[in-house]
Amino acid sequence: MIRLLALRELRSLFSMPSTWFALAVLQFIFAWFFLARLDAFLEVQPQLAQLANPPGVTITIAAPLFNTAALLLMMLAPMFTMRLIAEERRNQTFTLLLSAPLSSRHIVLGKFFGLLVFLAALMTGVPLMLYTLMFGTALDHGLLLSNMLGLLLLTASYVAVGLYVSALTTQPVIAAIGALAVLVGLWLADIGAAAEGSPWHLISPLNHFQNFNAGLLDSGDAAFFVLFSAVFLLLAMRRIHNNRIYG
Amino acid sequence: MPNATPEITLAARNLSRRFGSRQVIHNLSLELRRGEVLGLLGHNGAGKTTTLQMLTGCLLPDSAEKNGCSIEICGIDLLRRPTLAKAHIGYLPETPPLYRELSVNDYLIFAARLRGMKPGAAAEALIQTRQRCGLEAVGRKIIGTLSKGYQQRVGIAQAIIHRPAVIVLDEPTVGLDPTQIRDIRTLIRELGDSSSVILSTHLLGEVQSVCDRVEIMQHGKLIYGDTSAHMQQYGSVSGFIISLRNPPPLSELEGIAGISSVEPLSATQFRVLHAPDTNPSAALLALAERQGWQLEQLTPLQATLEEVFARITHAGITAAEKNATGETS
Repeated sequence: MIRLLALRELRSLFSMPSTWFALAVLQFIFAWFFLARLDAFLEVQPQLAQLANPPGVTITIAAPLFNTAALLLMMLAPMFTMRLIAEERRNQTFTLLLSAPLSSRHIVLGKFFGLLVFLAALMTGVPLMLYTLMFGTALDHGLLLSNMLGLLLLTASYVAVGLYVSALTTQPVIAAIGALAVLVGLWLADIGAAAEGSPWHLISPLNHFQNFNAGLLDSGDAAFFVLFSAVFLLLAMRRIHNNRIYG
Repeated sequence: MPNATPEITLAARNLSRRFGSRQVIHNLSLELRRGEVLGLLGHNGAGKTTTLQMLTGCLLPDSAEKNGCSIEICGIDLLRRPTLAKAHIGYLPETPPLYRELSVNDYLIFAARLRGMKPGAAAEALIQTRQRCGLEAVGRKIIGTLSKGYQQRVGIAQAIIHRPAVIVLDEPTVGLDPTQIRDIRTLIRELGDSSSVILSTHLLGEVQSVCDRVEIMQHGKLIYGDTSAHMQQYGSVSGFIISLRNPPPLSELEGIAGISSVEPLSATQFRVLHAPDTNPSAALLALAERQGWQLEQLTPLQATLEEVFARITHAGITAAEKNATGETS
């Protein structure tokens, strides 16, 4: 059932022109950033070569590119999550799901995985571009893998937040702005908090991504993403259940 | 010998529902057997849609334990085991729940799979349902590009594709043209042979042509329930309207045996009432011929459904008012 709902979500997404437009524009932005980074690297390469232990091509190109992707995702995820439930409510299609033999768990997880798969596909352009460097040089696969995993977990947490906010309202626009406010708020609180051990650092997804970005796999960070997503998914299930009570 | 009385497919007891401080549904009970088409009739805002939402599990009734309320679909408790019970329901809400960006085929397959059909069975059901709802020609079209009538048909198709035992249709013929209305009514009649159908409507003609049984709702209560044939007889009057080109004086008409009263409608038209067990029309005809009254027309009086409906709902209002004043005094 979850798979069926996820596939429906994907089918709907790919049958809309706006999805393809977003896909194309994003690839263009990533490519632009990638080429700019590559250009900068080639320029400073002679100087880097004189250093005793020079930073490699992966850390100078891949890490900033992934970081940019993570930031862009923060703005982008709400635009896709806003539709998930709010638009179904507005178009009255939500009744189909409510009257079908599904629990709220099915509905929430189906939508979550559907959009996660889509956003993951949206992001595959980044590692694909980076792997083209393999034709000219050796890459640090460990660093790339840790970044990809980190980005996937980060996406999952963003989708979970967006899904919950979308479950709260009937207006997709409000869902988008709400989710954006939460995500940007967490990010701003994180970079605004100066103290090293401030709790704001602990609850910001983007902060937990930094270790992955530097190639450091920390089970604590991974656990944070899993918990963060789970909490918002549970809240969304709760909200959909309440839908039947409050109408 | 097969069962004489068909099984009960839907049984709802003591449903109540309030939105905020407003009580929308009061202790409503409903029962439906296989092969029955039930019309839920009522003014706008009478609580029809809320009732149907509760019967399909989209809305939970108030405090189920306290009121002893229950909804059973084919013997399965909808409130306790919703996922099992809902597989037997097909629901068309007021606005058909259509994913406008999908094609008709994709959407119907999704709807069938959603109710737990296997892929093979769903494909088969798709062919059958498309044919039943007259959607053969538009299978590959995107739902958003279809006309309102076709969209409504897709909405009905999604409600029946998994062959549910209970089909709930909320105003299925709204916004359709007369031919489409006729087609849909024929379809509903067909569906009523194998499943139970509840449809809500405020069109009396629909009840007349489609339903076996009628429940009239007002202010969240069922105020009248009977077969639709009985309902038409409700409060009917025996009499006829005659027009005579050369009418005699009124007293002469009143003098005919069996006629209780004559009321002139115009110079040549009269409303003639008689006792329900006698029919003086033959005597009247014979007399008219003999006296040269030149009878043009004789139409039996028939209470239209509109009149019946108005009478029943009005009776409901006055009864409620009586109750209310009785309580306060």
